[in-house]
Parts: sequence; structure tokens; C-alpha cells
Amino acid sequence: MRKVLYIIGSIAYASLIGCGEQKVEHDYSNADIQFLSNLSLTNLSAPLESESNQYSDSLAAAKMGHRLFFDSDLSSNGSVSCATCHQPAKYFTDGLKRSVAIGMVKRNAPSVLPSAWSHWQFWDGRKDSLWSQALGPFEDPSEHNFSRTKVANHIIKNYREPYEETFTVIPESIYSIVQEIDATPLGTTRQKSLWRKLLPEQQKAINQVFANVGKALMAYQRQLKMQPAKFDGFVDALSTNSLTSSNVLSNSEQNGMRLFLGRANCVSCHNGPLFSNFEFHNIGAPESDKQQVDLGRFSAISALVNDEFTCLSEYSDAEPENCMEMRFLKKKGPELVGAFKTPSLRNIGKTAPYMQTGQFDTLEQVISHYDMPTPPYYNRLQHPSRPHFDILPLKLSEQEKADLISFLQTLTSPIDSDDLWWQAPLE
Amino acid sequence: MFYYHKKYLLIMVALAALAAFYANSEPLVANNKNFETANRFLQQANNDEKKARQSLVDANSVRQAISKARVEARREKQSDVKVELLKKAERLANELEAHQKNGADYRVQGQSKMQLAADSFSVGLIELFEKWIVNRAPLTMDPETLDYISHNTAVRSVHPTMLNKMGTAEEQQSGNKNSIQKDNVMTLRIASLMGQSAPADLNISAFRLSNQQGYFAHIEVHNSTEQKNNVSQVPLNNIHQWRLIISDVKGAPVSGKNIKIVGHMPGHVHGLPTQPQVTKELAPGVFLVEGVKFQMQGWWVIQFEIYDDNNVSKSEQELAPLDILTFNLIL
Ligand code: HEC
Ligand code: HEC
Repeated sequence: MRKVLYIIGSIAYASLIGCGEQKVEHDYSNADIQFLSNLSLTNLSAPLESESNQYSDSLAAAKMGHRLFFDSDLSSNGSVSCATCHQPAKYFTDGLKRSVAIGMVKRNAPSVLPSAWSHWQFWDGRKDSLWSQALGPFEDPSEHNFSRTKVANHIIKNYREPYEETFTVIPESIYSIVQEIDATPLGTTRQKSLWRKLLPEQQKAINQVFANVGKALMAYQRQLKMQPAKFDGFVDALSTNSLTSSNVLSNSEQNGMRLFLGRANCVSCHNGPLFSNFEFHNIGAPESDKQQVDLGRFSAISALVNDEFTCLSEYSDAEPENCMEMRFLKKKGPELVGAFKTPSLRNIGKTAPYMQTGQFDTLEQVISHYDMPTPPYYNRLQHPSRPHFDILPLKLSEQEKADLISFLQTLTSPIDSDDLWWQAPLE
Repeated sequence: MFYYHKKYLLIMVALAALAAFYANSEPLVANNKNFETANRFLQQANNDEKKARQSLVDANSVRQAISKARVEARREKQSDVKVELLKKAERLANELEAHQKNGADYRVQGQSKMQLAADSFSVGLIELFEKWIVNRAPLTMDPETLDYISHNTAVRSVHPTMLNKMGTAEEQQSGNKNSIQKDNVMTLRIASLMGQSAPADLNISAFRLSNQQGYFAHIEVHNSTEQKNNVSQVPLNNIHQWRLIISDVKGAPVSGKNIKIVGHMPGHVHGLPTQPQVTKELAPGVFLVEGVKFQMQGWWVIQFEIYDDNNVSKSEQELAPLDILTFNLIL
């Protein structure tokens, strides 16, 4: 069925651009070009500065993180790594509605490519840094199903040298503990009780190794770069007055771009070179489990306040007064209910299915939703207040919907087969 | 790019001129004089407003009397009585017009007195906090930080007559996006002000009288604790600091109050992305506001709710603010 759609799609596309002759139907003033260039990857800033991870731009940490990202021995069955669900060939997603490893995860796996530019991680932003985020999957029973003692044990056995060169010496006093005990404060009753029996300084030493594993994974993910996509080529050519038939966007793509920036108002949330403001909104994507609704950002707040590895924690390298996002965290407000982080739209044509639980299989379905959105599901027994709704119906024509999709397809970066960060490390 | 340079130059020149002005001249009037003047204008403004409202009430009762007379006239069989009633209705209609005109006149008069009061309060406040008030212009958004979000500013529906009181001509101009970009036309039709339509006469001054007229206050942007880094432009998507400077209407700095900050975009369902807080009172009446961040351009309303410090033991629901300071920003 998908194939058929593609064929029909490409026929429509071919007939639109006619005999292949393309010209710029639209005029672009200097102000337009200035505005458009703000969206080009060429103008992407460096990743957010990280106060809480002093190793975030260390190459040694990134190299270690590279190995860790692809290391499936960091899981209970020896076959799950970060790359299981964040596959380079799929732009660091897995193509599933909801990720599957040891079990099935509650949500869809986002690409990690734009993550270094966001203050908040996960769809609901329940982590305040990439290093703290990385610690979640290890101890999630449906993901790596591992524990921090097992992670520490694996580091001592397989990564001690690079670890100690980059970070600090691991106290030998924990060697035997982490080899013998499977413990974490977040696990099963047994794992929790074993964790409680450890001395505070033992717990701290294990947590320190665990946190540094996260910091190495963060350093790795910050090295991941995207190649300019068709859209970027077009905008860069516009700015340098070097449009040719090979870098110009088709008429349909340009129409779609104008809609995206204009009447369809997508750019109010999907903005900047990564096409995201990384803030939280409710666009009324269908609730996938009405028995247990997803409160999104609302539930993330208590998770953040109780998290052991935030910028404010003892494992952070930041002075607490510099943890601005955590110090001034918005804890209340009806707009938090059912709100999710605006995803980046880079490579969106290659990262179906869409939304936080893959509610939509195709971009056609996504655009139909934006065109005539259903208001967010509301259940008085489950929602603390009626969820806010951040979008308005667009009432686009069929042609306009198709144009928007053509435009979104121009955001796909080619994969550079020479970029070693995008491949499993050579060992 | 050239634009920005030129603009900064203008701001620098304006600030230098301002500094020179303040360094060379003694305050013309003692600051309590300004507050006295301000209070006199304020009282007049309130009286005018009261009269305006009374005129409208009067107009309303006359209007009722007119329709009563007309209804009676329609029902009346006897023609001479009917004529009398219609004459009465006509007389009343003239009276109504007079009331309406009075009301409108009082309102205009009151508004201009209110503006005079605000101007005098501002001068008084600037004198009272001479060391602290560095930037008097309305807040705008730093165009350099817009590279990231790429909203269009040229087609935004900001009206040029918005009340930008207390800035110099240069400062006002630099605060007005329309004037910056008006000859740099966009053909991309980008949604402007995000579906908001700010009223043409919206007061966007950085100096405001409180809702209950108990306090007068000023806000300015500070990107660090160093005063010299002060600019009137807020950075988009970046946490930054403000100073909030408050006196009571008699001209005394307001100290030891609890201040809560609420912000929202009219016509939108969301508020600020962070919870800004007053973290320190730098000097009596000078409050450090930390954690301010804006994720969108457009019309923002920022309110400072002033609570009595003695009330901290009460639960949140029981608390009512003493007064509220409301600032409109067009970012
Ligand atoms: C079983 C599949 C799976 C594994 C294994 C996995 N992830 Fe994920 N990842 C997900 C899912 C699903 C989400 C979204 C979860 C949510 O928002 O609640 C996610 C979210 C993320 C995010 C946040 C992206 C964003 O934009 O918010 C990052 C970064 C990330 N993962 C990195 C990692 C790293 C590093 C590892 C290895 C330590 C890892 N993941 C292991 C499935 C997986
Ligand atoms: C009010 C902010 C907002 C606006 C406006 C908006 N989006 Fe979104 N977009 C979001 C959020 C938030 C999500 C994730 C929602 C969820 O998972 O429930 C999202 C998800 C998406 C996704 C799926 C991304 C993924 O990786 O799963 C696509 C595609 C998308 N938006 C395209 C658009 C287009 C096209 C427009 C204009 C018609 C638009 N958006 C307008 C906030 C917005």
C-alpha cells in the first residue's frame, strides 16, 4: 500500500514540475532571504553550552561515548545498545510506533541528532541534560534492563583506561561490590533493598561512574552533525545568488515552504535551523491510551524535581546558581497538561511514524490532523485540568497539503558515509 | 547587519547625551515635588474619570426616560398629550447628547491628566533612584537573538502611536521595529503577532502606575549583575535578569514586600516558559528579578503581584495581593 502511494506521489510530482524545467516562480526580497537564512543548517549555532557536564566537548569523552552508544553488552540480554533504537541509517530512530527492546517502551524513539540543542530531553522533558537522559534507558526494564552497579562493573572491566584518563580514578573499594551486587534505587524490590544496604560513600562512588557514563554519551551525541539538506542548499544559493536548476526547490516545495512559514503558521513552534523551539505544546495528537492518559510535561515536573542527576545534583559540574532552567522551572500552569516538546522536523520524511506514540503513520496523516485538528482528549478523572490546545484549523486545499509535504521532504540530510561518528566504532 | 550597527550607534549617542544631561544638571525640583505634582494630576484624573462615569450613568437614565416617553406617546390616544410627550422626548434627547459629550470630554481630559501624572511620577522615580535607573525606554527584543527563532518582524501589526513615554526620540525609534525595517519589505507572508491584535493605544511604557494606584514602578533589562550591561532589549529564548524599581505614590521606596510574577500572551493559551522570581532586594525598592525568558515574539503582559511580607504564613488561596503592577511589552 505504501509503495502504491509513493508511485502515485511521484507521478503527481513529475507532472507538477512538467518537463523538468524549473524556475523560481516566487520573488524573494533581501528581507525574505535574511529571514530564510535563519533556518539554514549553515547558520546552526554550536550545541547549547553545558554547565553541568565539563566533559561535554572533550574528544576523549566523545570517543568513549561512541563505543558505549553501540555497546550491546550494557544490557541484561547482551543485545541491546542505544543504537538498537537510535539507528544511524534511520537518522537515529527505529521506525517503530513504540520502541521495542527487552520490552515495549511507552513512547516513540525520537532522533538524537537535534538533542544537543534542547534544554530538555524526552518528549515530556523529564530530564534536564543529555547526560542525565542517557542514564534512564540503562535502568528501564523494557530498554537495557541493566542496573548502575552492572554498568559500573562493565566500565571497570572494559573501559577502565579511557575512563580514568578522561574522568577520574575509580576507587578499587567498589570493584568487588559492583561485580557481585545487582542494585539500583530505581529497580525491583530486591535491587532497591541491596542498594539501601550499601554505604553512602559506596553509593556515591557507583553513581559517579554511572553519571560519567552519561557524560561520555552526551559528548558523543554532541559530535553528530547533519549534512545540508535540499532546503539548506536552496537557501544558501538564494543568499549567494547562485541558484541553479540543481539546487532550486520545485514550485510545489516553494509553495509548501511559504505555507509553512506563513498561513499554516508551523514556524511559530517549528523554528530555527532545527525547526523546533524545544518548548512544550499541546497540538491534540490523538490520545493513544484513554485508560491511562499521558499527562506529558505536567508529570515531567515532579520527575525533574525528584531526579537524582539534575544540574542541581552533586553529580553535576555546575554551580547550583548557574542551573537557570532548573532554578526557574515552571512547575504550575494549565498549559503543562498533555504538552509535549516540539520535535525537530529535520529528516522528518525519513523518520515515520510520528508523534509521541507513533499515532500517525504518514506525513499525510500529520498534515490532515493540523488541517482539521481534534481537540485534546479530556477525562475529568485523569486530567488535573482541561488540556490547553495550541493550534487552530487551517482548512488547506488538497494541493496545499501536498505542497506542505513536498516541503517537509526537502529537510532530509544526505547521510555522509565517510562520517565515522555515524557508524559503529571500529574497536 | 548595517542596520543594527547604525541602530546601536544611535542608542550609544542617546545614552551618552542622557548621561551628560544628568551629570551636568542639578535636579530642577526636589523629587517629592514631582510626586506632589503627580498626585495632584492623578487626583484630577480620577475626578475626571468619576465625572465621566457619572455622565454615562446620567446618560443611561435619560435614555430610559426617552424610550419611556416614546412608548407612552405611541400608546396615547389624545393627540395634544401625545405631542407633549414627543416634545419631552426631544428635550431629553438633547439632554442625552449633552451628557454623552460631557462624558467623552471628561474621559479625554482624564486620560491626558493621567498621562501627566505618569510623566511626573516617572521624573520623580528617576530622581529617587538616580543611581539605579539606567534605561528608560520600553522593552524590545534583541534583533541579534532572533537569528535563532526567525520570526518576521516587519509585518507585525504594532501601531506606531503606542505610548512610548519617557524614552528619548532615538530610544523610541530603536524600540520601534516598524521604523527599522519599513523599507526592507518581506514578500513571504509570515503570520504576524501570532494571531494577536494589540490595541493601537496600548501603553508599553517601562514606567507604570499600579492597578490600585498605590505604587509606581519601572522595569529594565539586565543581562548580568553588572549594571553596565543593561540594554532595553530582551534576548529571545534566553534566561536573563530584570530590575524592578518601586516606590509608593508618595515617593518612598517600597521595601520588604513579597512579589510574585505572572506573565501571559493575550489571545494565547500559554504563559511564560519559566517561573521568574524576585531573588534579592538590591537596595530599598530595587528588586532583582531572575529567570525571565520569552519563547515567542508578540504582545506580552507581565504582572507583578505585590504581597505583604507579613502574610507569608497564609495559604496561597487566602492571599490577595495588595496591588498589581501591569506592564505591556511588544517584543
Ligand atoms: C528500547 C529502545 C531505546 C533504547 C535502547 C534507547 N532509547 Fe533513547 N529513546 C527511546 C525512546 C522511546 C525515547 C523517548 C522516550 C520518552 O520521551 O519518554 C528515547 C529518547 C531519547 C533521547 C531524547 C531525545 C529527545 O529529543 O528528547 C535521547 C537523547 C536518547 N533517547 C538517547 C539514548 C541513549 C544515549 C541510549 C543508550 C544509553 C538510548 N537512548 C537507548 C528509545 C530507546
Ligand atoms: C503550537 C506549536 C506547534 C505548531 C504551530 C505546529 N507544531 Fe508540529 N508539533 C508540535 C508538537 C508539540 C509536536 C509533538 C506532539 C505530540 O507528540 O503529541 C509536533 C509534531 C509534529 C510532527 C511529528 C514529528 C515527529 O517526529 O513525530 C510533524 C511532522 C509536525 N509537527 C509538523 C508540523 C507542521 C507541518 C505544522 C504546520 C502545519 C506544525 N507542525 C505546527 C508543535 C507544533
